[in-house]
Amino acid sequence: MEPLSASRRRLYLIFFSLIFVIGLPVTIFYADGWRFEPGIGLVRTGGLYVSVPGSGARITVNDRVVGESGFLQRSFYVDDLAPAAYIVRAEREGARLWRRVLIVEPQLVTSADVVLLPEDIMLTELMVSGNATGTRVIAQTAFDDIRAAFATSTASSTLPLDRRGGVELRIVAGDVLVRWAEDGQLPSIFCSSPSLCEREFSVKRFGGEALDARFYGSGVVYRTKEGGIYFSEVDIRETPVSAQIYAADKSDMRIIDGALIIKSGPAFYEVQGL
Amino acid sequence: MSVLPPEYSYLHVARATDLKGSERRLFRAFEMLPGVLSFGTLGLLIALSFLKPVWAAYLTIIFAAYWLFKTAYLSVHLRYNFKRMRHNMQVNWREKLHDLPHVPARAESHLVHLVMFPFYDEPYEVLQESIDALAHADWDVKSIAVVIAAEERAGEEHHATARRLQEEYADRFLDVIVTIHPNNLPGDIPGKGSNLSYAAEEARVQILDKHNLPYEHVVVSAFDSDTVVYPQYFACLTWHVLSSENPERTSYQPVPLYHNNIWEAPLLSRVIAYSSSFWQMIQQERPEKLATFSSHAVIFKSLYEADYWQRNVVSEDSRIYWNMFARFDGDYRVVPMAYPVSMDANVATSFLGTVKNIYKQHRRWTYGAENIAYILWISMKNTNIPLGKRIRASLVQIEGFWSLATHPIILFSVGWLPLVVGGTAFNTTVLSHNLPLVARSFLTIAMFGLIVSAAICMYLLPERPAHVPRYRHALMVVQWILVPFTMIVFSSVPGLDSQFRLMTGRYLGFWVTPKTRTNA
Repeated sequence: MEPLSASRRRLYLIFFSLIFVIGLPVTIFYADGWRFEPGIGLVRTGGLYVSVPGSGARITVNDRVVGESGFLQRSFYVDDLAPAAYIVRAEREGARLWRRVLIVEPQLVTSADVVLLPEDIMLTELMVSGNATGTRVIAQTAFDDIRAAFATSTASSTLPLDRRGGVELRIVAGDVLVRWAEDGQLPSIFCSSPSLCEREFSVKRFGGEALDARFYGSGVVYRTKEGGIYFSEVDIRETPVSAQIYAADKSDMRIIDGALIIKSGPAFYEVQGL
Repeated sequence: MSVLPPEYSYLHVARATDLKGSERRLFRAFEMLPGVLSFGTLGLLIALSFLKPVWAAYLTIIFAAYWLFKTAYLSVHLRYNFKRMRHNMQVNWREKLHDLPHVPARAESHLVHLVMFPFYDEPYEVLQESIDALAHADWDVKSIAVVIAAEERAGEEHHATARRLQEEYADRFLDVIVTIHPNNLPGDIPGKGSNLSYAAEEARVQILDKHNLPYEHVVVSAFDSDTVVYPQYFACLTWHVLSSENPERTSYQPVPLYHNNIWEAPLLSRVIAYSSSFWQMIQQERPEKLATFSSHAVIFKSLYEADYWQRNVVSEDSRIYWNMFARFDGDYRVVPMAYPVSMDANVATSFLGTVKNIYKQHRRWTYGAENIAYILWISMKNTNIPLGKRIRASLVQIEGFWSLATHPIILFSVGWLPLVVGGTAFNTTVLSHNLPLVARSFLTIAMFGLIVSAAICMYLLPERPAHVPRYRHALMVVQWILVPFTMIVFSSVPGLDSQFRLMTGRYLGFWVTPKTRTNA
């Protein structure tokens, strides 16, 4: 049996080289978001990237289902999208509908983090004794620590009240503002479209004058002079998830050991589900 | 005494330190070239990942596409060589010799095979298996002379092993001699090249001259101590020699299959053993890129005229080809035999020991990058070699060692760096999201080549010994998923290690791969 002949090898080489030479630019253009549209020619597309915090959420883009989050899939990349506005929805049983209008621009990916707030935000009263429904018994020392935490003042200030991943939280003239405090490109939550970003925006949706605010869970919790305590998603785009957590004047809040505690009169409540 | 003409005095230069003045500086630059290219490529890609992540992403896609098409192209060669090797193993080469139209009367009569077994401290059983295979070859074994080439530094125990084998096999072959390579000969580095060279000269005096054998009628097979021939090896080799256009300007290369002990080898070792064999099989179908490797054969006269193997290099198996290439002004080639010899897979007493041995063996092999400096050197010194051949030889070797050291690292690690360090601006581009999808798709398609590898591996596998459980057969297929890992750890990393040593002048010495047998 003769060795592979030079002419056959040359043929293979030419064949594979041709595929490489033709395929490579096509691949690079494809990776860069270029698509061929019959009748139009080459068009630049963009994409959406949606992250979901848990399993069981169904994601739709303009009413087209793109998938359901599961143990292995917590994010969805939708490409080949013509530049336009897209309505993205995330639905999960027992959670409030998450809906966002996302602007897609050429060769850019617009991303969003879904926030799935439970329909019922649970408050558990913390007590040192008793076994009533909706209460939790904690040790006297833990109870004393909570009481001591609330004894410290958290007066409003123009200085940052909290900071998380380059985002600062301030209260300015009774409004709750988030500000991107670092250099470079702003994260998508500061951009109403990929090319239109603002360094600072308000996250307060309800209530009157804000007195305190903190990052908590997937957003911000803030306390107002009248109205109570609220949660708001941090996103400049319409329509961020917001909810009232506790409705009562003069209620107060602290984040103690990672838990959100609300004080109303002499009672303390732990908020669950955010 | 060297018969090398004075105009070829440059032939056995091993490293820059062998030279002086401007030649030394030039050779040093040549030595640095592979490392500069490889580290430069990786450094450039890392820098671009930070500074121009889009460019880095384009480069990663180019590398992945190049990898896919190169894999497909080489896979065609592998499959063809497998078919050819399978065919060649069925051929009765002894019969076929008589079909040679121009040399029917010469068949079997005038060629003598001189088989050299350089060894250091390998156990008796390893050498015994190799020599015994010669004795059972389908050939007139009285036309085979055996040289058992021991090392003085190995000690009396191993010299006794050599003498024991000589006594046991003396009357089976034309001749069996034991040579003992002295320590610290001027110009030698400890290793196979110096041992082989010393033994070849001893064999010339003690065998060729004693039996009045014309040097052009002696075919030297430079084996390793664990090289076990298949029955038709000598007939096949003789056929290739006799049918060669110019036998004295040709080396003959069988396919080394590292599977003497494959059923004893751990998973990692098996993958690497067969991967190494497959690479040699691919090269067999690309003779213009083929240099000699382990267990090559050559006509003694040519070897003598080139003053034997270089005594001062690590990669003497491949270097001898380039010595010949320069000595005969580019009129030299390698004929691929597409017929196997069997050798040992790397097995140590512990898994970690095996990993270390594999690494060291591959570092030695990838230290073949030292040939780049040598090829550039001979290209400069010997202008009788046609320019096209010089350029081609240099480029083939440079590309080979560059891609060996860099491509696996780029494809499986550095190429993904833009996603990590590219910054927010890059991470919001469609390109950043498509980069992993595109690169992964190319690599996944390329991995289909592993199915071909697994199938060929299963065919080549020696019969499973009775004590080995059946499930090990299944593992012989599954093991191929380790290839991306082995490519980085036992190809790229030792490749970069070797090139870094050459670049910084910390030259590598010869390391003898330990060979054992479970019944030893």
